[in-house]
Amino acid sequence: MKALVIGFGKMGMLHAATLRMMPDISEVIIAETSPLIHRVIRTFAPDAHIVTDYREAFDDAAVQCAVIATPTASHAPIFQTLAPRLQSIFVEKPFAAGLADATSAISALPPKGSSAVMVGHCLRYSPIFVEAKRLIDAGVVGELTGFQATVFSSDVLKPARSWRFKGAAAGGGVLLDLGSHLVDMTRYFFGTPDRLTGRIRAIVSQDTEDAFESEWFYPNFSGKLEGSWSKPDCRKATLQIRVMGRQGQMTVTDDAVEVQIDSPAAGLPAGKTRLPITALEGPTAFELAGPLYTHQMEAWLRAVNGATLRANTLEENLINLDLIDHIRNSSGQSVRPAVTV
Amino acid sequence: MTPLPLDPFILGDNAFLGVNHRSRQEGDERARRFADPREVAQVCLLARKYGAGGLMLSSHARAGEFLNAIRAEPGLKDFRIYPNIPYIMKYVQKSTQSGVSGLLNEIFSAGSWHRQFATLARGGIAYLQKDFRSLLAAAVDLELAPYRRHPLPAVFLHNGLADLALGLGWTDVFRFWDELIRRKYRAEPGFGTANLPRMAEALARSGLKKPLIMAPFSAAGFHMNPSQADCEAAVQTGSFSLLAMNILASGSIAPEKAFEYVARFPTVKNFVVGATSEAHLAQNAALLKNYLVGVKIDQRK
Repeated sequence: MKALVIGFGKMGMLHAATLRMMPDISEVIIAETSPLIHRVIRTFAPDAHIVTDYREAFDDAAVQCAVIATPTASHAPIFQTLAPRLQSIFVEKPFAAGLADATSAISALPPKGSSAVMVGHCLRYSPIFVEAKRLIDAGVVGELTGFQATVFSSDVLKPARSWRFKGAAAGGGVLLDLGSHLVDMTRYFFGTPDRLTGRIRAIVSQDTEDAFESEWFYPNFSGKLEGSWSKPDCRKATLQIRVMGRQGQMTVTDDAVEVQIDSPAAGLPAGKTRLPITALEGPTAFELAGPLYTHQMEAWLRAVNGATLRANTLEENLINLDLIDHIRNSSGQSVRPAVTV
Repeated sequence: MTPLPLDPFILGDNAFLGVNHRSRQEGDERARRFADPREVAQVCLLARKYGAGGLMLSSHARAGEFLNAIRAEPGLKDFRIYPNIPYIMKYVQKSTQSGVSGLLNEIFSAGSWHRQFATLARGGIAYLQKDFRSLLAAAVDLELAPYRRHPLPAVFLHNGLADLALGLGWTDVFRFWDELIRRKYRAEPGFGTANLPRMAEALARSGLKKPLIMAPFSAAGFHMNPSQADCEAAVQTGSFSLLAMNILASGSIAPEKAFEYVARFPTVKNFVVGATSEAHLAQNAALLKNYLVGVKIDQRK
């Protein structure tokens, strides 16, 4: 089958290259509006199939799946246009700018028939976070007492030009961008909270937030989330979750899981254990920017071929967007999420 | 002019930049230590003493400082530099900040060739394809400008870009790189990759004879894709020269085991090894000497 990749920015490039290496995909068609990008592609790949308007690919019956990797605010309208023609759609995270946009987009999916809609929260395919989730579920730190989840980058230390940092095109600021990873991962670890509070604030941007804070409440514990893309001295974006329990604590970053426990649990000895990425990560069919992107694409293509999607489903992402909307709008007040599993 | 021969033992620069695949915290600690570029030159001097012939150096923001410090050190006069360009994090960050179109605009509008390109683009002339190649060559010139006063045996295309071209099937990029680096820099063109067998096939299909590839190759199998066995089989064909990197898998395997593993592949004769202490450099040099028969390293004690 052929795949259509809409948007040839950083993520579109990555997904196009990864998909092209998949045995199921015979051709990747690139849809991109920038004439400059067209010219560069033509220089180095004269035979590349590239169109300006993604709808030009609709007539080709071999096009069976599509990736949306455009600025966030355009995800929902593109999804709405695609859905009657194609039901196998991968949408780069976040799925939409908010729950309302997402709900109207998915209304375009045919009421009957199967669909393979996946949202690109790539960390779900990192062996580090999968192992951390396994350890939490196995009770490695005992009964949970709290958590601290943070994501920081130095992307916006002065007013930036990209669509990512403009409220109108991005649909939001750091909360929707980096924060959506944190929201997804925190919910993956601990589930949907009963209540939450949230605050957002601008640091250097004119029309969007550069930082956020949130507190999530569960029946027996609570935890804090914090994020900013205006933190100096971050070589790259860094996500970290510290999990506290009655028997110890665990720190998860993108390079290791570190566990400090009082007594043996979940197959780990008492004391400190460090599980680095080098010990957890295996080889992959094709690696570009880390194996997790390939694992993610493989999972999606399995779903396109009829398998059940186990992570990054549309349903999960509606919950994520609901939580993000609440963090954005709660102004520090405690609120209850509306969407539940 | 024939390119300079490759050194068997090349010092890696990851530690100087705060890159550690095993631990970001350790990486950050190292970055703080090397905030003073003279520290980098001191490690190079030690590495030279233990047989390293050169330094692999990405074109990150501090590359110029490091090169100045190396030039200022009399004991490093013949120390060679192996550029690995472009420093991919710089462009990832720029594309995040400006978008890919913005990044391309920036690349194709910086430097002395800006006016020429702007004129051509406005005129919409028919040779635009050729001009983009010239402009990209000029961008490579700009990237390599700080390295020009050093002997450059090889110039590597960073794996982030090489693997992107591989995935997209843009094999023209490989021919472009090969031709440019040989013609203009009289150096061996190198290709970084985390997909060794596929890259070797693609370079062969592009008509490149016995290309130089830099790829992870370790007992741990870390980043050896699609599998350690496939990478080993590719190496055994002898159809390319491998500069083995990450052989210590960011310190996750014992050096003895690491060198014992690479010694099983006699066609592999060149290694990038990261080390920042005299003890580690001495240990690595001794292991290189013990295990790698035929690999001559020059220890200057």
